[in-house]
Amino acid sequence: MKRSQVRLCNRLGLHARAASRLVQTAARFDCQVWLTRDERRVNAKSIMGVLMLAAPVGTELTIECDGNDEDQALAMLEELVTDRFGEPE
Amino acid sequence: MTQLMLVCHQGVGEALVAAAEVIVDHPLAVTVVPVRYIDDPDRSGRCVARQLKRLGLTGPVLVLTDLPGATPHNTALQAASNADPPAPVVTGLNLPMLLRALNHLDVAPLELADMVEQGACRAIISGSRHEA
Repeated sequence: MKRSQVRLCNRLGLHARAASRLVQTAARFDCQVWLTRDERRVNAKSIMGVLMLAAPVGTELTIECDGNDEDQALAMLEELVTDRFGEPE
Repeated sequence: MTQLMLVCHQGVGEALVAAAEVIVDHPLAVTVVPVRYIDDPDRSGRCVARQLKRLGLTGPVLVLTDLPGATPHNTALQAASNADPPAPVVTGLNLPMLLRALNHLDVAPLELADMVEQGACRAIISGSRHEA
């Protein structure tokens, strides 16, 4: 299993469109993908799970990927978050 | 792939699909059948049945309606039960339900019906219990 901590840096945090992009990215990989905020851990391939994190800008999230393509999945998800989900600053 | 059909009061299904399209950031292949209060129920029923038949040619269908006991739901329920094969109907449509359905279109309609029901219910949370 591969794990990484990221901080949400886009202005709106993990809002609906950002959550959708994250879920669509996670779904491209076979590995299991989990997101954790504090004590809450959700399936990152579930749009409602991700939205339930209610994570605003500045939130620290842990991304965990477990499976054959975990390296690629983790790298892609980290890039998505650090790229502010493609949103302007 | 399961196909979605929304049978709702006029404006409700269209608005939910429009909101979902903004969220997922691409156009959605969701069939919306709006029902107006002035519509003849028989005509609405035929319209729903026609759309169900059309969709049924390309794959299984899950029907979502907005309000239990209301005309759109009753109309959908009747048409869906007469369809071949019958299509499951879930009511109480909200945006979380729609998003969950769109997220799991690879799941067969009956199982998806259970999933979206649970998803929609879980997304109803008193604000004070949902820490931001």
